[in-house]
Amino acid sequence: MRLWLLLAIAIGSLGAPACRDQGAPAGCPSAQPAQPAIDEAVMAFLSAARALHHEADIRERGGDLDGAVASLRRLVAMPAPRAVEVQEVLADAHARLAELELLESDVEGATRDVEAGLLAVQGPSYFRGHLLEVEGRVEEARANGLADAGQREEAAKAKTRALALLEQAVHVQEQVIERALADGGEQ
Amino acid sequence: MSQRAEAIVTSTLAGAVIVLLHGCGGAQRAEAPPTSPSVQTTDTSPPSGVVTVPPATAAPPPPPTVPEDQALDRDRDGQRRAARADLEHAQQDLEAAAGACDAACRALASMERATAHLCSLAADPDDQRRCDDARQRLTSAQSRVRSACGACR
Repeated sequence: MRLWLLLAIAIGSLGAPACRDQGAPAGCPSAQPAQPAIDEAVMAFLSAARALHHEADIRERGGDLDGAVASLRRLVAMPAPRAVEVQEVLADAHARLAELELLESDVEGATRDVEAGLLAVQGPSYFRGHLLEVEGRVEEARANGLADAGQREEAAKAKTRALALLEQAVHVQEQVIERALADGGEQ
Repeated sequence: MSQRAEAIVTSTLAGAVIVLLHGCGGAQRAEAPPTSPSVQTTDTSPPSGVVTVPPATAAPPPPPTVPEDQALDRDRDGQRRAARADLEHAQQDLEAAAGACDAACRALASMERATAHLCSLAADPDDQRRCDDARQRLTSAQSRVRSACGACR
């Protein structure tokens, strides 16, 4: 559900400012022929992303984790317009993919997705903090797997990485909260 | 609605509504007919029960000059415009505050998960110190979000 909310906010934030500028006429988004084409491409991407998250939700609820992963793979493979909102949606999709892969004990797949997501978002943001949190959990799972396999030294290294990543996630989200409440959401 | 949003809107809306009401009332007074029943002087046989003012012996006062009326109208228009601007500003503040609280709650949830995992991994004193530090930061963030936004959904 939170993914729906994020996408709704992203879509809303694109349309709303333009509506305010024009005195909010009825049917505002469609009444803006002069809007740059990039906005239309971004809106189309966000709409498709929302549909694919919905599809993944349905499949995940039905226990079809592979199907949910396939839906999200389609999302991250879509041609992506250059926009901050798009990068954030991609980062969030990679984080969700990594979480699903962790459920399937695919630690390597989860690692690849977290790394791809972190490439999409720079600087302290919720999305980066969330990816660091997921990466910490991935390293935690790796540590547990290595410990079970008797590789104590490697397990200890993975655990150290997990602790550092989870600590980073705490620090990033702390900054996100401070900034959000300090400037009233003007991020 | 969050406490933060309520506080912003309540203060701004209260002022804006007062100004709007004042402006509307003033406009109505200005548009009142010049011969209202209570000041009617031409009818010498009023119906029973109606109080009338006796005919004036002196000449009626001159009507307000046109420039004064225009100045009043301009003043009221200005007040209405200012009130409308205040309302729009309050609405924008409300939207920003709601967005800020959504963002803060989302980040807080991630912070809680990260802290839980971090502390579940703590085995030696150094790990425990890191866990304690994260918990302290989390408690502080929870308190900050609660005081600004109320409970997260």
